[in-house]
Amino acid sequence: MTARDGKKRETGFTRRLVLATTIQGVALAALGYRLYSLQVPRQDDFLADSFDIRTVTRFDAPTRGIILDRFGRQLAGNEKSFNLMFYPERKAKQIETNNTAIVRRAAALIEASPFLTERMIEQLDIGQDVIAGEGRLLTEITADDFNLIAEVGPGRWPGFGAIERFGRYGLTYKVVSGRAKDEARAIEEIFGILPLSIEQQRDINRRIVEAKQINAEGGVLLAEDLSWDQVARLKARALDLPGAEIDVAEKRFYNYPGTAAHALGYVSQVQPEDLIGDEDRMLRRPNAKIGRKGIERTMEKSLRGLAGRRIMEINAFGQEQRIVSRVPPVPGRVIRSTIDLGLQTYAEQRLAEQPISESEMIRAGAAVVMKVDTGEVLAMASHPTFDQSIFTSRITNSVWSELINDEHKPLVNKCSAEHYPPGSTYKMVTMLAALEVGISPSELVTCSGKTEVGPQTFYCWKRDGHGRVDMEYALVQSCDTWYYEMSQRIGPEKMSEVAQRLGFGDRLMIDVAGETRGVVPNENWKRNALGQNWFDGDTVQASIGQGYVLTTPLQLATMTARIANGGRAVRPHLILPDMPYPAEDLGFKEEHLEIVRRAMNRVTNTDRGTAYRYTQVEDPALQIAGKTGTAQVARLSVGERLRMLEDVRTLDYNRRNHALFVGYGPISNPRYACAVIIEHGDSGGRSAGPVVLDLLQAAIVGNSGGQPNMVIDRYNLIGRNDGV
Amino acid sequence: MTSTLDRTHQRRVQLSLLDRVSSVPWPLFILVIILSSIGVAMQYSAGGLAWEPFASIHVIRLVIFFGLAVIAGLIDIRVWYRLSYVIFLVTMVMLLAVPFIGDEFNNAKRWIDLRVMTLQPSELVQIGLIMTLARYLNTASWEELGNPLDLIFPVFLAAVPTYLIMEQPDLGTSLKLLACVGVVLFLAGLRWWLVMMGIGGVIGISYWFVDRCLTNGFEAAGYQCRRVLVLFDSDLDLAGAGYHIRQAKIAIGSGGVEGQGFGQGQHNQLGFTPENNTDFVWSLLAEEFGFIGCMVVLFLFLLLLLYGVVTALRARSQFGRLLAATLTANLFFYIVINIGMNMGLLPVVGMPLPFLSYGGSAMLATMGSVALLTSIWIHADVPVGEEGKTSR
Repeated sequence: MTARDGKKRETGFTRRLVLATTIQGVALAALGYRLYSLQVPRQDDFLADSFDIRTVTRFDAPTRGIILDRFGRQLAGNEKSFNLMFYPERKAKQIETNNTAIVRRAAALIEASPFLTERMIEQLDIGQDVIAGEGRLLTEITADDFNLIAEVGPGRWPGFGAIERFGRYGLTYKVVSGRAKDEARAIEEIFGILPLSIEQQRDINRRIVEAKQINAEGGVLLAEDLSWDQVARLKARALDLPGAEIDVAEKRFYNYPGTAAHALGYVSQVQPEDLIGDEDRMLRRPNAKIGRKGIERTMEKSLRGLAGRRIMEINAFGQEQRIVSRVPPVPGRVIRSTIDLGLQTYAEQRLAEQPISESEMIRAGAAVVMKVDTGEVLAMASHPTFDQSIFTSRITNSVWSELINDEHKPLVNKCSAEHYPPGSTYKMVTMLAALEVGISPSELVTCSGKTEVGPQTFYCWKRDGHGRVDMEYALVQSCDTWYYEMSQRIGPEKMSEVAQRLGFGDRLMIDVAGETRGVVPNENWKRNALGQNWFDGDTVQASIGQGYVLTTPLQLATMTARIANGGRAVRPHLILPDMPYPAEDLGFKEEHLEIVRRAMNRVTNTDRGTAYRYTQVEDPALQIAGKTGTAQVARLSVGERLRMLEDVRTLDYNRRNHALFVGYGPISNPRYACAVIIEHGDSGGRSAGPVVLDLLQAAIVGNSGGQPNMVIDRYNLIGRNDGV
Repeated sequence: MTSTLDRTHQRRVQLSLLDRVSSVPWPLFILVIILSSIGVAMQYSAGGLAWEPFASIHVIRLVIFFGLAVIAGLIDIRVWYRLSYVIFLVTMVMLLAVPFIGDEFNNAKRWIDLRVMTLQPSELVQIGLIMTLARYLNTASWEELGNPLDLIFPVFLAAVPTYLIMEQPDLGTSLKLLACVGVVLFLAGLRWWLVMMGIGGVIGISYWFVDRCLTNGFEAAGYQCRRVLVLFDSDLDLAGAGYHIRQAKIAIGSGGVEGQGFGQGQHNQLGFTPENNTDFVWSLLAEEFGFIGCMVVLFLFLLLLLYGVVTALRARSQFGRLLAATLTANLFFYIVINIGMNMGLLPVVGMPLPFLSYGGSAMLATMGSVALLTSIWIHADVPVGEEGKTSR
């Protein structure tokens, strides 16, 4: 190579190296520019992204408020429950994408049965469908319905859609926020179009709620109520289970399952209609429960409390590292009930032990014990009862259908949600009305065993008649004829007015919903409800609490309390108020009430009284006053009447008379009122009277001095220790 | 003319050890030490503000390899010239052995376990190939490079390791190797029409590749395609190919101007940017030291590259010039590809960042380059090989 050539090579090299170096410089400058554009103007965006990725917002469920009895004994509390949750979106992206494998691993760790394992995987699939936005399959539909829904659906039914797979068609649902009202309408319309059974509709509703609950937190509930052992095994293998988390939840716990079930109510799975107008996140959590019936339902908002919010920093494996910020949950309010656990337990037991004939036990009935001066309900027993705690976990269909198909309706609160003809327990109404229209207590009516009003003949329960009876004696003997005669002079308007003042015909409970109004008939009512004219015979019937009159045991107890307390309008309530509710005067004259009370005393404590055999006691401190009621529920033939008198067992159960009794005590200073109905109990005095006597005595003895009622100790009924 | 001749006469053929020590490139060493220290700091942070498991080993490697590099740098450039083919041969043997005795990790077979350290022959073979090509082209005249037939041998030399590395698979490293071959040929005097053809070919192949990826659709594409396509839309495959880019971009963006502070980069510290002590160490640096810190490192890298260029320009021998310039270009490719992929400009490949990334082989290659640059700097005026002859 010549020197010239070498020179050429060197200049060529230098030129080209300068060019290459320039390119390098430009490339580095480009990197610098990119760096600038990422870091300087957009830092906040990226910081926000980073925050989103490395944090999760967790909502902490507040502790549901506990429910205490009037002395602070716990009736409903909470216990810890561990649930296995799976968050398909939460696990680190690069770790593992096979969710099914993770779920199977978790199932193996908790030693789940093959059935439960399959359900866990099904839950996962549901969760992934919902999260991926495909929607949850609700039910299979026909091709025609598919076309209809696919065409009309999107605009009209937000969230609902139709899919086709392998020649089969399905109705799907995914959550559309803020359209709750439309959704309720959509469900109604779709149910109207598709031929679905009640069970299928229930199933669809459940699926909709599950879809909502999954969507809210991105989590799927795989298994509930894990044992400590299972939790420990899952925790130990947490790294192998990305996305799986143990959720420490609380579930409702009833200290005395079955006791005060109707007053307390229960909690159960959230249904779609519960979400309408209630935006609380807590209802949209997997496995969310909501109060049903009684105090649990009425006080739901207070009991539920407020959700806490926790922003957690997680690492790439999804494990929580630290709390970034935290708003603690506000626990639900502690509710102190008016219920006296001891008396309540005793009332239920006593009711359940009551025979209705020589060889038959009670099948259905109700008992209410109330304080006459305030209206506080001390005991509210409805027989048969049910175990509230079965609703806390997912209830099986067989248990549910058993409960709702039971002819004695265990789920219905017979104290307030069921009404009955009051029979002769209503005679105090007629009596007070008679006094108010100026009928003299000493005026005598001759009872021959029957009365003719217009074209109809009405019979006294005593076919051979009572002879000459005055007002008080008419109540003592429960002489129907006196009431038939007087009712014509009182008139339906006055009678219904007095009934309403005593609490009939309307909902009375101050704080807890779920009552039926019952019926206090008059001309207006009959025209509106039945479109018929009022006849004198209707007045006659109403005067003895038959015909159209319908009352709840709660109303009967309230009436008794109002008579006993001197005519003040106490109203029943189940939650202990800080200050007693005001009870205005009902406008009854004290001397009128005194006459009624004296008559009621003679019913129970004089040998002419209809309840004397069942309710007379020697100790004046324990004596009660009351009134029997035997309400006819079916028009009996002469033969049936004779058979009933001979031996009630020969008569079909459903055609037998209801047995009622109302009473208060102690006589000298009335404190407690009680009403009892024994369905088809045949005789108010025999079947219901002793129950009222026992309950009032238990209240009087047990509660002297405001101490917890210890009557229950005699029955040794408390099985579990109650911690307050 | 005379000046050249004078300078040729003035060339000192043999340098004493003292001469060599007195002329070591201090600025280069200082740059290396500063960058290495930053690397140690990043390894310390990546280990959760602890010496274990990364920083301690990183320090040990740096000290040993830098010491070796200084010693190697003092060795006469003509020794390295003569050893060029041998080094290439040794590294090629190791590379050939990888499919048989190599370790597999992340579905790629790149490593050989040497007990003391795990070697990645693909990193080392680059140095060997660059030395070999520089030696081969040392005597090539400007005219010879005009003849395409004369290019067959160097292209063959390059094609074998490129293919082997691509099969590992390590597309990034093999493309970088090809780029180095292109650079050395270009600097040696490859004719412009061939250069243009080469550039045209690269553009054509890239276009064809992206086009094929786009037509096949994202789902059907292989992982190479996915890595390219996510550059255009990082939301495409958040769980897969898009995950790295998205997380790295978020971490870098979160750094802002001043950074979150040493050990305070939450996105990195919580493990959301994977491999943040190796290929994604840049995202850690960016999150914790921000724009300022990154620009400082970028500026240090620029100084390093400029020092390499100056070394090349100072060298009197063609071997020294080509070797220094191509080694510098190789460092440049490391830096640009790594930082580019960290910031979502280039597809994600396996590419370490010199001095900062954890890993022995890349550091060995980097320090090897430092050693050779040192030797070239010291022996800038030493004539190498059969320079001056008209033919080989």
